[in-house]
Amino acid sequence: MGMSKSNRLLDTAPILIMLVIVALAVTSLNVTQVSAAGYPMTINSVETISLSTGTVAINFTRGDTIFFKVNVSGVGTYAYVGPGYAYVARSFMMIVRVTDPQGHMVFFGVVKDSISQYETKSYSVGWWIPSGAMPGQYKVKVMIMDNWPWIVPSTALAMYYEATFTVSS
Amino acid sequence: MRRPSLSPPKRNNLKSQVANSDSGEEREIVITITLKSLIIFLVISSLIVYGLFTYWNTYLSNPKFENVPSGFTVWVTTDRPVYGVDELVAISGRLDKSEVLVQIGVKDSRGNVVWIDQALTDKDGNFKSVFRLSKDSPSGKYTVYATYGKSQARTVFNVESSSNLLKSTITLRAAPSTAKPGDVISLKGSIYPRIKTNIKIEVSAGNGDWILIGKIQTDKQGEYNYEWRPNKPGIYAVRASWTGDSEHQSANSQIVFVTVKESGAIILSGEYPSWLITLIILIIGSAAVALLFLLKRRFMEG
Repeated sequence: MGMSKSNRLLDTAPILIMLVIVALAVTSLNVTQVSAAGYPMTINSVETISLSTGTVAINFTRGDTIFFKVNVSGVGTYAYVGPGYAYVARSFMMIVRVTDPQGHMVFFGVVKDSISQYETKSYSVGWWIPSGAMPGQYKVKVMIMDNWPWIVPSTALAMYYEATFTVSS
Repeated sequence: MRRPSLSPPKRNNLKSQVANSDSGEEREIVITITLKSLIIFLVISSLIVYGLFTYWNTYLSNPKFENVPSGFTVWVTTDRPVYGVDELVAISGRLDKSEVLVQIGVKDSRGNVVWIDQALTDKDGNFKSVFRLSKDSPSGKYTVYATYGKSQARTVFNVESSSNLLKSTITLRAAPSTAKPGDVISLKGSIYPRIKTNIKIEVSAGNGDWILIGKIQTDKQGEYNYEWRPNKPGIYAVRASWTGDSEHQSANSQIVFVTVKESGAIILSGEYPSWLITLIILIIGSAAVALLFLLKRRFMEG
């Protein structure tokens, strides 16, 4: 009887091991679909809009409020959600960072949201230009990531987008 | 009715044996799988599975698929260990992957966000990011983070109120750049202005902090030679630095890389390909299965 049990164990153990290996291989295949540039999201455009006129502008004066209108689209995340694979909405964090002509970071805004496959969304982040702002050319850099850089893991989800605007006194 | 007598398994690959009963009505097929045939079968099936996955990833899915980056090594440094307020901070580093975005962040001693950036690595994996400290930057220790997926490196610098100091530079070169564990590596360099001062030598194995390995004094010509004897294999970044004096700014050297490995050994660096991981899993799994079959055979024979 004992031999029979041992035999059965020896018969089934290899099959069980193979099943575990296959299960591990299948469930570990949690992948993200990416655009041609290699990222799961795309920043399509960044526009600098004047609050007073409501139109796109590149020249501003101190005291103006500027809106950074960012248009993004998602390619999608294809993940194992059990019992199969499916496209799931992707959570992301968008950073809008402004630097003055000397390279000081004078503003950064954060948007947290999620985006589905092939969905396109627009976000507006506002910044009031201080009265003591240095005149000259400012740079706005929009970055999309899944987490803050000081937290692990942290990965860029889109190629960044840069634009410039001018502030005069 | 007498059951057919089965002969013990022979060591033939997937040999089929037909046993006829006395009456000729009942037939039983015995398939003998040897260890060799099992391994061949598993290897071939692994290759087929890998081929199917590759085909699926490459051709059937458009755009392609990518896993969360892991298994990479990142190093990061700054051009100086100490800065004054309103001064430019140049962050640079290297990742063992080209043309990808490294996440960069800087926080002050209070935990405030000082800088946030994404830097694209060049064809050699180098990246850089430059910003200017604000005029009201608090004094203290600042931490720079460079992260790519699950890999993160850190470095620190200090901010002091001093400014209007003369610039200084420090050079570093390592010879040999490839060595065996226990070998002596000569770390030589100079400081400008040429003065007698203390130099710090730091090492980073990547994905972590810099570790102080020693201090050495420069001679009157501002030159130094530090002998380093690494014991563990790996790829190390080395930098030299000095904290400046009442007239001169501090300076970090450029980072230089030293590879420590046993002769003939290969250091895996960069992305561990999924096929390699799959292959390792399959080899271990196959070995386990083969061992069980072997045990079974011995058990039966015993």
